[in-house]
Amino acid sequence: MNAARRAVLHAALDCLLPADEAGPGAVGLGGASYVERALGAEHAASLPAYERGLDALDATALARHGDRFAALGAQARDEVLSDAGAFLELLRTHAIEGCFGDPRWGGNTGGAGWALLGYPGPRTQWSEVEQRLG
Amino acid sequence: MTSADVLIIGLGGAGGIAADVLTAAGAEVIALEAGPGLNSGDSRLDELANDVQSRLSAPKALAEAPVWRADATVQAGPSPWPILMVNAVGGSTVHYPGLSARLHPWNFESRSRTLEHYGASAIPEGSTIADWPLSYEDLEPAYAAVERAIGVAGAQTSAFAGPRSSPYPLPPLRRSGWTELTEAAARSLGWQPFPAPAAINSEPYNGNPRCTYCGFCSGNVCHRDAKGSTDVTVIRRALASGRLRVITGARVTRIDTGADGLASGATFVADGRERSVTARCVMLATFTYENVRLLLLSRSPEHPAGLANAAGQVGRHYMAHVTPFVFGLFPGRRLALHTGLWAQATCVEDWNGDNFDHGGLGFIGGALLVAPHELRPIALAGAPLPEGVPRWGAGWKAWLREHAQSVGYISAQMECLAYEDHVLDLDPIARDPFGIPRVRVTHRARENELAGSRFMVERMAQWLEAAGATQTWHAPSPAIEARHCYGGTRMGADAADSVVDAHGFAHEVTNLAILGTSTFPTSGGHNPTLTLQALSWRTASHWVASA
Repeated sequence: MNAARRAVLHAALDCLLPADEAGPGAVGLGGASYVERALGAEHAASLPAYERGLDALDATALARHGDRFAALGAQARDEVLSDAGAFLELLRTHAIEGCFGDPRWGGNTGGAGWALLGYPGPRTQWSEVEQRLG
Repeated sequence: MTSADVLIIGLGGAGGIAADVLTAAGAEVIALEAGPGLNSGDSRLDELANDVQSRLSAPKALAEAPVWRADATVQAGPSPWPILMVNAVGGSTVHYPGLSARLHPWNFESRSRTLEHYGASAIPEGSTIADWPLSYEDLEPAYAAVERAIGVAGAQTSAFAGPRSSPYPLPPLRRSGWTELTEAAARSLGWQPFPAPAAINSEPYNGNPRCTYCGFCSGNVCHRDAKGSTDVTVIRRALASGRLRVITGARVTRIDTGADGLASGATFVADGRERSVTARCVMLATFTYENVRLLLLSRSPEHPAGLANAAGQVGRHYMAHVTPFVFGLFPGRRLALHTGLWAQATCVEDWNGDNFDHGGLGFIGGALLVAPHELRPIALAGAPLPEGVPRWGAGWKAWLREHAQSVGYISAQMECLAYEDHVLDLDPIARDPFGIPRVRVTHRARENELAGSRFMVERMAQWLEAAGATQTWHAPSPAIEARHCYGGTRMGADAADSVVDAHGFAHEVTNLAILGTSTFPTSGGHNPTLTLQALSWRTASHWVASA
């Protein structure tokens, strides 16, 4: 992935799950590193869709706002991304995988995505007490 | 040339049961299995590997997954629904959640009882719903035998269940906060909740240890042989007999027949070499789709339309469960649904079969409702959202952070009827990596199933609200559960409108048995595996008695 597309990818992922005072956004959670790795492996079939989708985000940003996607403000990015249709859904699916999947696949840095969901991470056993309602 | 008394094609949930019955009776058995042997060391507590990458279905099953079309006017494309079959010793029982409920007596005669109660107009136009050629009572001994063989944990279910000749061999799985909450809620509605019967070791059983409630049961190999998958139960026992020979990595390309028209064995490819096995009896025990494909591919001068297909019935009467889910929000509560098992659940079958009056409802059949655990983080974050919650952005993230641990859910397995135009055949275009045609599914959710799903969605929402949910929601349309698929080699008394007889043997190839849900005349509203295993037990026992 070239630098221009990578910039769009990172900006779009952080639109989906933005950083806030409580924690990192999708990029900080490992979503971008997961997507970049998976596009060279198990999600390689999605690479053309990414190239088209990321280029289209930049093209729409330029046409509507006169600047590249990553250079836009948050509101303008959201507006451009919300019109991305099927690519938005693909990116959302992969962002969920990257932020909330096992860190061994290159995302969910340090288990931060799991922490966001209140999930303590995989274990081989759960006790009766841990299965009580809180 | 290798030969045996019985050749089993596909050593999975069905073939494993048959292998046990046959070898216990002294038969020499060869099993051809396309996949490898797995063991507890192949377990991964990893949602991406199991559920996203579907590693246990790769490469063969994914490469030959059927293509799909809604009706005959369009070209088939990739299936919109996951079609996950495991190629391995143990088959899809290796990754199944193990919910093992019996069908009800009504399910075996749903056509005649519907006609009797509601009249002919209650049967949807175009439906080919049929009674089974056997009754619940006929199958009961096999149900009991399979429950003992694989180890089913359970307790008395509901007043709707058929009579049992023996109690469950294992007590129910451990109760949890969620199962207790949903049980009390169902009771408050006047329903009859019960713990899900599960092929999971609630206690050590037959040398295997008890379950540890890890939360990675479905989509995964058990990390300690505590699931009643056939590889660690009946197949292990059959191997110990010394009379079962398993050839793994064996991709069967055709069932062979002799000049007498009977099955003589099978041809397969293993390690790049074509080989064959001969046997007195062949038991075809792959998945629904592959059962149909192999029959259609096994053409010969004696069987020009494919094996057991003189009446053109192979591929007909296909069905797949419709599976609506309803989610509920329990604000401020921590439900811990990432723990435990899918089959560590509270079930309700007040809305299954004909357990309720269908008059004026616009559908027949029903569903088992299941309040399970095992909601893993990717599935949770990717689940439908309640109205008003944005699908992305700061609002979504805030909602996830506040409520992810407070989302509960219930699922239904809505019976799907057979229809004249719901069929499996060989796609004229799509091929697997070996150039062999893939199966084409022609199927869509029909009004009967959609009306039933809407009804079940209301029941599930009612249940969640009774349990304290302040808000409930569901996907706009229900999913088709293409893994719970039925028909294609229907069982029946008449060779003109079915493929196999009441014992599972093909009408026109009397030494060919077909095992699996492909023989079911109706889907029922329960998980399929226990019933297909009981039928396999019955088929193998019949061969033993006749041989």
